[in-house]
Amino acid sequence: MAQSGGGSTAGSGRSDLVHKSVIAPFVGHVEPGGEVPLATVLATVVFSLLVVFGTTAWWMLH
Amino acid sequence: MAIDDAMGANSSEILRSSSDYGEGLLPIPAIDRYAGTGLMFWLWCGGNILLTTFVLGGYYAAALGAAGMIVVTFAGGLIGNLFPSMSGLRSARYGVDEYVGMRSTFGTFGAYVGIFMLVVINFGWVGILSSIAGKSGSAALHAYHFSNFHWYSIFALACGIILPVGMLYISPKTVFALVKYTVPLLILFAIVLLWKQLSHYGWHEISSIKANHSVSWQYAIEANIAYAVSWFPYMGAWNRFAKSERGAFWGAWLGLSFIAILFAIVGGIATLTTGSGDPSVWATKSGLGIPALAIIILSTLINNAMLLYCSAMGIKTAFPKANYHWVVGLVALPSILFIYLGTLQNNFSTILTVVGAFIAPYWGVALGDYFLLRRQRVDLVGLYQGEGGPYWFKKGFNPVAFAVWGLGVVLWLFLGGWTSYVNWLHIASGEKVFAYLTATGPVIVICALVYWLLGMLGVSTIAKSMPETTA
Repeated sequence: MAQSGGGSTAGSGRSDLVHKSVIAPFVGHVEPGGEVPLATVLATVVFSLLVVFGTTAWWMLH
Repeated sequence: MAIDDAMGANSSEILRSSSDYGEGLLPIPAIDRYAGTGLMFWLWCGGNILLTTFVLGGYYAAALGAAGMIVVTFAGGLIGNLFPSMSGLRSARYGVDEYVGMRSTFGTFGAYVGIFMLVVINFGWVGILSSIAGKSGSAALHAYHFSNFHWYSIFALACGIILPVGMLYISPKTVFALVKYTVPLLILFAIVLLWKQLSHYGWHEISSIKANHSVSWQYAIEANIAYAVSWFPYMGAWNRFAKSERGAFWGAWLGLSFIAILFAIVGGIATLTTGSGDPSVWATKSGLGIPALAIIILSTLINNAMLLYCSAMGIKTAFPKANYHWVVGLVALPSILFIYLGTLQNNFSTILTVVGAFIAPYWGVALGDYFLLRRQRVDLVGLYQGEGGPYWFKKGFNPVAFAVWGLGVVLWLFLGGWTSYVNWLHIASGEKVFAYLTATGPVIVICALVYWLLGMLGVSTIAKSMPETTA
């Protein structure tokens, strides 16, 4: 199976960017790890908004 | 056997330290990545050290006043830079160039549309940045009573074209070496500039300058987000060198945001205190002629090398047989025209409009495809396949992705068209909605969600590109 449960790899042909036989050895050797889950990104958004607007509110109140 | 070009040599092994990993289209294996979180941070800091980042703060400082300018800069910088930091994760994971990865969203040939936008925008950007280096260099020498000579052309061509091309010709790794030593110095110069402004005028005086409300805070947020997402086309080419996805994400977000905020605030305060939006005026009044010149020259070197490398890799994706060394040289040549045409201030609004209207929805679709629909999983071999591969869609194009992109462009023009110089795009109802939503941020989110929903509803064109296990 292709990288990370990817789809079909059948039908390699002239229009390929690189021949399948060249890329195939890379499968399983490219992912460096340290995945960033979507939840982390959303938490960063919420944190940024809290910092910015929290600071603004504090600033206006003082 | 060496994998000595990306055109299908029958290799069956991965070699360490092959120059092809940076100069060709092959994925960079995890063992060959060399940029840790710190190096990625310096790289993206260096990327955002631009005169335009100073100008951004000056763009709305008079309208909002010092306090309002700072708050909006923080908000727009932190949120806006999240989008490109996310989009670069596909390349960080798979070690592929932006436009190889983009095939999973727009199709084998559909990704060429992104390449076209990148290369054309870069012609202008590289030319404009080179012209700034030329003007600053010749002005500095003039101030030190050097005789009249072709200093403008010498500085512009040397800093903007010849040296960046030379660095890339040797290896893209030279850019990492340069940013590691010069970016901390450039940041120090910016901090000194800020300190000089604050100590000379005092915060009380600066903050008491009345806002003139010439533009709204929503407009300022929009400018920040549009400016941040102009990084979309460049993330993948450089993030594929990252040692970890986490390092790529935090390095990019913190690096881009830190510089966007610091430099825009410096520029905003300088605009308030000097009454001018021209950075050369601020530098002269602060007595920072030489450090300012150093910022401009070094940042031009770093930026043009970063931009030209992305163009070169984009062109290599479209023409895989092209020689890397020839491409990096030739891709810079059209920019020479822009060295002698136009100015930054005249083109800034147009650049933000093009980025918002065309770049933002294109990468919005890509974010929805990669994060929401594919859950950060693509078929590595499939990315390199043409007809018969999973990302061939319809004759190499994904019509669903293009339809959502088109919807995004129309939506952006409705919401933000009034900010452009084009009269027939000034839609009153769009301007009213803009006051609540702004334009670029919502368009990115809406494109991502619409594409995701279409995929979840099982639109066959998308479903065929999904792995059997999750389709």
